[in-house]
Amino acid sequence: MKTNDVTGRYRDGEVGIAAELGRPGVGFRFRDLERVTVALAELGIEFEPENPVTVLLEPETGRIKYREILEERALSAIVEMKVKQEKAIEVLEALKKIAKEIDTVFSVDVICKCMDGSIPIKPVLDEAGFRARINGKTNVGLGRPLMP
Amino acid sequence: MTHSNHRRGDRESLEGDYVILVRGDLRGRPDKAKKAVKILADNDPVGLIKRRTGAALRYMRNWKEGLELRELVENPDPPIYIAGVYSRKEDVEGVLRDLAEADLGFSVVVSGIFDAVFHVCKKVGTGPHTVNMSMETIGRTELMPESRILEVTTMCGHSLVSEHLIRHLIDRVRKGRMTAEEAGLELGKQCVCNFFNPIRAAKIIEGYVTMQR
Repeated sequence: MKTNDVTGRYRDGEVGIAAELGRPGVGFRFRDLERVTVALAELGIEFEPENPVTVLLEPETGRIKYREILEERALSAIVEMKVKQEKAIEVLEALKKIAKEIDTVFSVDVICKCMDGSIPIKPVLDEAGFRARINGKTNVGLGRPLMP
Repeated sequence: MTHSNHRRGDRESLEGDYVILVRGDLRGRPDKAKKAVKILADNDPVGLIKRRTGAALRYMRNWKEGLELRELVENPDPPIYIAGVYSRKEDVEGVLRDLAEADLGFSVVVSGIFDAVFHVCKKVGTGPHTVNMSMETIGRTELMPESRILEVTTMCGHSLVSEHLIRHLIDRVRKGRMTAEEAGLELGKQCVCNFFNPIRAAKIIEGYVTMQR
């Protein structure tokens, strides 16, 4: 989202969702990461191809390809995906459910392109009972494509 | 990477905490990148970083052993990205107004209270374009430290500021062995991305010590 004003990676009606395993400051084991990615794969989501966690995963099942790393610990890893707005609540519900089955924490991000100075996904989140903090990151739209 | 997205605190505390990140092809447009560095430096940053090939250049206000702001601005190396930390909304407005007027074409991301940032955007005639919202932290939240400590640790999204160091420094401040400002600065040194706000940390530590008394 940092350069979305130039890249157009997130377009109208699309929502980015991320689960930041182990954050803040708790750390995680890869077996916990796998529990999250398997639960998400069951929803048929596509993991962000340019995210370094994605290369560890079987895309269809969300299972970690390299079984020897399951007990390894790390400070954080971000599982990232992009879905249609109408699918966002289903993904967030799945994350909430799987959070009860893991031995760490994760922080959740929701990314969305603004429309006329407002955040289109916000009322949808509110209605479904998902609370966003008052602060976060705003791309202010000053970026220009290199080739006009 | 979302290392400035989950900064915790109440509205009053967060009103003194903003991070401005400038991304894009800064190395390919060095003259414009230089202007961007100067704009961030001219608007009273609490901290400033120029990430480049090799060691990053870091400035933190009142860090005597650190780099002076002038040295960072004058350094000729092209940046990969630059970022500034600010404690006043007016300074954020100054940065965005100057960047908008300069029309440098780089992407600019502000971390802070959404309604405050949106208000500034409206005043200077830009965005908001895209947001990244910090939702709840879920799972075994009992493993996390208490909220006042989290307010400090989450200013370094990569968790390089240890809760144990915070507790140790709070203890030193409580015993009168160092000031809250010195403690804030010491903690800020740990955050190599330089996104940590030592001024805000000092206020939080001061509040913590007062509460303990």
